[in-house]
Amino acid sequence: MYLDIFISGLAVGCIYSLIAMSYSLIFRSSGVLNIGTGEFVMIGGLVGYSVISSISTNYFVSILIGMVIAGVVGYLANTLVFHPIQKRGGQDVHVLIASIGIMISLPQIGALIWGAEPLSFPSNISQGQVNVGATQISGMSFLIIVLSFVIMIAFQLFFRFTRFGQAMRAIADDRIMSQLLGINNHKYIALIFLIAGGLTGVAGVLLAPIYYASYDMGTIGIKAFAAAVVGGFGNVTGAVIGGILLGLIEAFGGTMISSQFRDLILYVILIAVMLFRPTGILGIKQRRDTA
Amino acid sequence: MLKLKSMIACLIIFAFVISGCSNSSSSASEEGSLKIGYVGGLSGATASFGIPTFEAVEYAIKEINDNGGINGKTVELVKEDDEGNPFKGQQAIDKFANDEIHYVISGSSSAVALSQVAKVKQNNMIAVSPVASDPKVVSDDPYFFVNLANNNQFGWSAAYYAANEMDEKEMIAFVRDDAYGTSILKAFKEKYEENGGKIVKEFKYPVDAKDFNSYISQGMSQYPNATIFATGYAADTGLIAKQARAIGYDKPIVATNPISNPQYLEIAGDATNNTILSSAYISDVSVGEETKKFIETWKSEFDIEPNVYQIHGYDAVNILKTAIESADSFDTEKVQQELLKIKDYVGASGVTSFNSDGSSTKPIYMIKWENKELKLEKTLEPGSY
Repeated sequence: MYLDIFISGLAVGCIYSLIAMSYSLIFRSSGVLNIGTGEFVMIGGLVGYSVISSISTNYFVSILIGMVIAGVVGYLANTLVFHPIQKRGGQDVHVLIASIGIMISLPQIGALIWGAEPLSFPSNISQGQVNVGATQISGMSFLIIVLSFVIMIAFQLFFRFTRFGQAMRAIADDRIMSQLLGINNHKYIALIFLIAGGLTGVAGVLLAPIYYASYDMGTIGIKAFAAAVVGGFGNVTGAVIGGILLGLIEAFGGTMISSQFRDLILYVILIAVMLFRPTGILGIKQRRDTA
Repeated sequence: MLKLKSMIACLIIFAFVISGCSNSSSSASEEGSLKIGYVGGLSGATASFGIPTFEAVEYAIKEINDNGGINGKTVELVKEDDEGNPFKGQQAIDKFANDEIHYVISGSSSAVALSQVAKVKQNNMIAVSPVASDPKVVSDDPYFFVNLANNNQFGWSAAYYAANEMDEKEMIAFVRDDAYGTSILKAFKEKYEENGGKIVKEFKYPVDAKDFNSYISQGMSQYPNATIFATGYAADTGLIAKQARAIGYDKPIVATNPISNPQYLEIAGDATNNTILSSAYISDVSVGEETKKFIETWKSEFDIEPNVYQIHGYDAVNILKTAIESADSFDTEKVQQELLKIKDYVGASGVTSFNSDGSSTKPIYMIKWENKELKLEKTLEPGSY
């Protein structure tokens, strides 16, 4: 029984982790607190649905296209909204208001394009089972866990061992110094928005077969944001840990204590964690360029 | 002298206004027409039933007008959107009262309807609801009538059928944490235990919950012989079915009226198979001649089968018409008395009889989702469960 609960909690936790990574990546590199990040989940889920229902029945193709389109929307959000505001001297609060605008307008655009009714992925995607020892678990949960871990590990390798990744880390650590060293900040930040949008889009296509795709599915971003903060806002590894922790607390709290008060239990525990570690589990030091 | 004339003129206007107000309960109509208000969710979360109900009300009124109206008056339909919000639902009733509209079809959810009941009575109006199934909506000396079976009937019939006809004696209940979910559970539990069944586990979940995997896993591990009973709407129960089947649950899923909504099939797909529910309606011609006639007319008009809200919305208008015609008056007091006399009214949704509190006694259809279609399993007549 505990293994079943662990697996389902871990699967949802992995989704939170992917979205939380996006929050952290964007914030760490550009200083933008993009509250609307969760809405890229919606873009991924709905684009994935359109692909699987009218272009290709291959689920992995829908993941790929969902990721690309969500990435492009992320890129455009930076190029058309955040970067111009920052360039014209906009403060954090102005950027925050713009991100709230994105959070409100994207679902409405989604509803205009795809309608307000929930859209379900073909049931063959979500109905397979995998045997783990004597326990039967959902094949979709298994796929979410495996794919998410592959993506998370690939990201760590990308940041550590590629030139692009190292440049992004340099920007994340100190924007001014990286610029002095000749790194084109604007180009790399735009790329980070593209990647972060893509990551969140993948989360949307992975989530949609278990739930459904709909214009309001971006609300999951609120929990992912909490995960990013608990993990240590701005720390990508912390975001992964925070997301998984959140998923497991939800699953075990809901089943072992009370399903009715699952969210209450979750947030009480999160507040307790924040009281002991106000900067999160892997809280990062203040950026050098803002010290 | 001029001042005196002005005063007399003012008094005449005042007397005219007063006399107009005092006539308000007898007729809400302009000369030659009768205004009927429709309030329901035309946008927002409750639009999934507010819009279909409105479509049927509009259709019924068109049909009535084509056949000469009510007591010789053409019916004029005035609509208000409550957006699923009780406050807006109340405001709509106030607006109708100001516009001298005394007859209302309420397509509002139970939560919104509860906020309208007192206003309807206070304004000496008559409302008929084809939607609000919460038993608390009706009361003695009713001005708010409901021509749909209530949650007690849905819960009791599902429990009776599960315990006696399906021989399922253990249930894991997934309870939507709102007025509908908890009142269905209360009725189901009462009748299920009376018939030798036991709810072994209750999972109460918030209305926006989407992840049920951990609950299903825990329930299946602890109680492998138990059957799932879901008290929610189409969207949440669809997710429960989908996620349960995904981890190997192959027993029946027992549910109630909202699960007949095609949205359940949209969300759960093949996972809908072997879902049994107590419903107020099934689009099955074997139910009766009036039902058959309505289904055929509706299909020829809209090229789609009518759903539970449309069929009850259509009946609500025609029941109101019958009562006004029997009263031979637009006086709401007289129409209320005629509504209370409605017994064995044969309409599109089957046979309706109003009880003294404004609720209705109706047959319940036990239906099953099989191969993406709804099939009638058994009709439970009032008093048989």
